[in-house]
Amino acid sequence: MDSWKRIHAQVSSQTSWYLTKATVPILLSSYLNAAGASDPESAAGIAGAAILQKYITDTRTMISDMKLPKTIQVGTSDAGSYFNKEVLSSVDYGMANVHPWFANTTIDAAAGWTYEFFQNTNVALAQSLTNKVRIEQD
Amino acid sequence: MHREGADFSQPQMFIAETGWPSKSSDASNANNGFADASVENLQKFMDNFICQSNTNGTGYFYFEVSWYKRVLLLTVSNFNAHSTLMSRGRTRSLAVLKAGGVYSTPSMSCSPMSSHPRLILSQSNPQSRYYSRLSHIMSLFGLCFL
Repeated sequence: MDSWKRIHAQVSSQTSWYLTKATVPILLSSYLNAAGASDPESAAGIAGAAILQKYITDTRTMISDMKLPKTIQVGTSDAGSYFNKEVLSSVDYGMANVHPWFANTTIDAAAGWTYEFFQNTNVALAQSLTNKVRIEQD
Repeated sequence: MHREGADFSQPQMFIAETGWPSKSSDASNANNGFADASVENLQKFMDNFICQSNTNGTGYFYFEVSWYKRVLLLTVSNFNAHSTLMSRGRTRSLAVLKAGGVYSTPSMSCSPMSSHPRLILSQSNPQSRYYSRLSHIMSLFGLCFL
């Protein structure tokens, strides 16, 4: 079975054996909220992204140091509105929280709105990222 | 030692969390202006969302609920339908958390497909701690005893 573990500061050797993917749960949202900002590409968002990228790099280093038999993907998750291109450029996958309730949709429009938001905001941003270079570790 | 890798392919995107509130803890948030927070609407959203996502290929996750030694296990899962919890005969279901930890499990019109990760359906009161609590669990553990 594949298990996607979320790791915070460290992953123990017991759980690392089961890792196939790791999600860095440091949310850009928290930096934006703390700064009273909402634009992930604003100065506050970019400052938060730099911190998040450091965690992503640390996570890759930590996983690499475990010398596991397979490659572990590293991703991040955040509110769908708060993905920043610098952060997304650093990860293998992104997990977006998309809640139609808070967008004040009707119930009949909710599922469609969720798909459209995800496509137009999150997938579109991911697809705009090309020719990025990831720092890998030997 | 660090080295620069090949061109980085685009990150794969998933919907990590979505859903509809089953209830509001206070009257002022019982409706978002266009629809009620209700189990009926949650059921409708779930049916629509899963059927839609299975068709359009959206990657998603779900919470899976089961009982283990009288403890409710809430598992965020993306393993396939034939493994682990499934094969033990436990039901893939939607948890509707209520005050006191009671839950109900509406059925689904479409089942999550085994070919891609599954979803989440988060639930509960939009303004209560339950909603954020699930997000918190999702963020930190993925597997948690309630």
